[in-house]
Amino acid sequence: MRIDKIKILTGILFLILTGGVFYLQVVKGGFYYSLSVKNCIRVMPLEGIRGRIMDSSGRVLVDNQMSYNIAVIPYELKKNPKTISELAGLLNKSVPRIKKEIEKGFISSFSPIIVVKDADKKTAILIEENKFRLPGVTVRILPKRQYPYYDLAGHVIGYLGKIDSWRITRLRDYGYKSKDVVGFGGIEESLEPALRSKEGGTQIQVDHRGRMNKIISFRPPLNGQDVYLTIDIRIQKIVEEALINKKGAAVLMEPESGKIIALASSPGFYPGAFMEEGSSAYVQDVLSSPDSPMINRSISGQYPLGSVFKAVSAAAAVEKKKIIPARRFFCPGKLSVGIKEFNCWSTHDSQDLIEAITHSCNVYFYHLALLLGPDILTDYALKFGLGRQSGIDLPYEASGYVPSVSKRKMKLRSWYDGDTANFGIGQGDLLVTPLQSARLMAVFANGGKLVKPYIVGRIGPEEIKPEEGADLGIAQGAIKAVNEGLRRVVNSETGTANIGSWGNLKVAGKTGTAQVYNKLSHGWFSGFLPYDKPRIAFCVFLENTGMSIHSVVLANQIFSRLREEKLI
Amino acid sequence: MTKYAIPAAAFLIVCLSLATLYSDIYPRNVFGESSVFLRQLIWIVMGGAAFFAFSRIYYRRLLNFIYPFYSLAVFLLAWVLAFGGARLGAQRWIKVWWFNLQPSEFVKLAIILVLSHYFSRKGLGEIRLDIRRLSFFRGMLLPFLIIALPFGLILKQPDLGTGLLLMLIFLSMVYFSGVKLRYIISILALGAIISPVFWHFLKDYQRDRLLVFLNPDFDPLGAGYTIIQSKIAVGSGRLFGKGWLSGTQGQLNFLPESHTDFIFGIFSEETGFLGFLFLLGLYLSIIYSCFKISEKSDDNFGKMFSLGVGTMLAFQMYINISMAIGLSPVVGLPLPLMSYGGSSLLVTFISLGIVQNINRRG
Repeated sequence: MRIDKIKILTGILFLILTGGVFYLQVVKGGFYYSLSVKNCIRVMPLEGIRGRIMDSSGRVLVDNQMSYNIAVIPYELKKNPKTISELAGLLNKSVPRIKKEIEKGFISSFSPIIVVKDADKKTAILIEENKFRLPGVTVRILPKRQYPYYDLAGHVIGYLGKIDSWRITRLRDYGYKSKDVVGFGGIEESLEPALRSKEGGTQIQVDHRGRMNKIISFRPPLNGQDVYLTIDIRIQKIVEEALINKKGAAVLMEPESGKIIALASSPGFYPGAFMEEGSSAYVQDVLSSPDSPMINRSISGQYPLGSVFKAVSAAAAVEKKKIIPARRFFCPGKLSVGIKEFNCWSTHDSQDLIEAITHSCNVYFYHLALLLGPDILTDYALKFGLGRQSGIDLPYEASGYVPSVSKRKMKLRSWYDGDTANFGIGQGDLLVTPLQSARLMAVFANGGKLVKPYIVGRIGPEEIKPEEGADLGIAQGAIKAVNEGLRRVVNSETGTANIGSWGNLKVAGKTGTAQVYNKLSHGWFSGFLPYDKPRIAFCVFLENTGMSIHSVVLANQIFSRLREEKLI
Repeated sequence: MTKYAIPAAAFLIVCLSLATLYSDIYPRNVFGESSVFLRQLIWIVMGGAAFFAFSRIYYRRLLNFIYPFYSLAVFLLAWVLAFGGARLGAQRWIKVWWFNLQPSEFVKLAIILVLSHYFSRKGLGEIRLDIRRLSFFRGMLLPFLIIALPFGLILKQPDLGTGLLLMLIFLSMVYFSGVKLRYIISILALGAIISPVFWHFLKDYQRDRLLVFLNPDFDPLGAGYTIIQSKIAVGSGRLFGKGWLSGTQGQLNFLPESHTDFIFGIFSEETGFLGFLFLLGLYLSIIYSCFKISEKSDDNFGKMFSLGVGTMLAFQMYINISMAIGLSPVVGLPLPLMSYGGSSLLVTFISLGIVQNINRRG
């Protein structure tokens, strides 16, 4: 019978186990017992170096610097209680304070606890010189993040901080421990696995007095991988300088590939503050400021888009053959839809499509929207990448919101023609991030492809290739007509973005003034340049600025300076 | 006599489990890990209830639910894999309210059920089945296909230990069913030939673990560290152990995973070789009860199922303890009824409950 053989096999397995355990516990028991009593094996950890973050041409945005940290080993302190008072004397600190630090940082008896972070060289040397009086105290040299450009591109970079309980439950399986430092926000968070170094260390055998007997093994730490971004820090700097003391965001990207050239959000913050001693007041300020400097407005802020959306409505209307570009509507300054009157910001008389874009005529686009109907508008908004994340390699990207009749019905509310008219000019429930706004302009700049924006160019040796953009299948005629309008917005005498100082920058774009309930309007200016052969698609956005012309002036400043510095 | 052997031994083992868990978390209460003890207690109560429920339900009534249960388990396994893909790598859990469900545990039971059912079907008019007549296809390949999907999913997780266990359960059940020996040998040979290909698909950390098994000094701070510390824990228990709550390896946090896969280290540090013999005796009485019930049962399904459960427990216990004493690679399998973990406890209790019912029905 086969079951007998299975029984015998099981019996053999039991015997093997018994033999194995007998060997360990009885034959070698004394040896292992002495190892355990003397706690003979100790691990002295060695930190690796976290990967650096570079811009597109290798300028270092985040570097590592060696810092001296004074650490104690709790097990040794217990045996040598006098050490603490000696240490306190040398450091000019009180004994209870050091004791408190030790309590706070305790992991296990043999894990060093840092009592003075980032000490100056003098102190470190002082400790080393007095080592014989200070059993259990060591100077640990640890890499520390350093930011050569201070707060530049802070939102893109993110910052480092002690791991929180939410992250530790997720990351514990990957070897993270409760006092580890991890990336929060930006590249530091999204590329944490690549940037992170692997801890190494020396395993030593010590005698009963805690003196080293022999080294059992050594494992060198593994450094994290360097990350190269696609942004050019020189351009980023000019963009951020233009945004100083303003609330807003700016995005510059390559329309063909989706490569981000600059991604700025203002106000910003200094990432180093989160790990530095004595900057807790700054951190508190940043975290509690009503202007929320921690939020990356360019990808996480969602705002009504206003007239920039007219470019989408226009493309939809021509593509769906609701009008030809030469179709004229008369603008008397307002239009009655249902029982409500909808205003234009001026009276434009008779306009064709291109003129209507040039002058941002609301009445013309009310007509278009009513011809198109809400479903096509929703379709096209989604087609142009609104209402969902673009998929940029940064965390916390917002998806925005595209209204639709069905979503409205789910909330048991009705959709009126007035909503359609409002949708056509980008008002109403539509919410868009500045990145989405630049991305929709890239579609016009590259002739109809929706690209996926990306900001990481290289991780270690691995070059990141851009994804091919998705062809939206819009007829070239429709795109050409809209582009002509966008060109005239900036370059025609009567264009809404003509501030008379564009020179030969050859910008095309669309302004947008998005009304906000009870507050000043948001100002948008999105477009691309040069219009004959676009190399940059952009969005400049100012929160509660009142008029879109402020954004136009800011864009003008940015591009003029970039031209001056020969960066475009 | 056999009537009470399984519940009595299982009860004693879970008591040892609670005592060991308590000892493990006792010095580290600061991190709120006492919840580990409470949760385990709740699971044991639930598991015990499941045991008694299943020991009262006539097991042949379960036959109708075998394939739905199998499908559900495989579906959850696939779901966990798809869901886990979003995170950095391996994901073995599904969060359900306050606990984590581990579908691979349920897959073990599902596979034993399905294979038992497969090998116990009889044609009309056949008095006894004669599996020896089965072709290679019907006797080997078809049952292999049954486990191939969950097996593949588990390797993909990747969970080497459970994958290995499924294979061992499969082989022993096929062997027991009476399939020709040369079929089994040929599939083993095939496995040996393609195993280098598997090496290619292993994750880095799994290769590390295998290399560490061959040479613990290969990575003494990482995977090797656990083996060394576990050996110290077990070995330092000597003949009588250090006594309850007096272990140092687990309590000084030397031994990672000390409440799950390496609970044996804590247990034997405190109870010594005598404690090990006692625990082994308890497992022995459960496993040999399963075998005895298998022999006694007149029903082919009952025979197959009891044997499947017996071998599952035997192999699982063997792999867990042998990895704790450095005899086999660290593959991450819980020690049945001892390790912390609700899914494993529940599945073990349900399996034993069904076996108990098979015994009752004869």
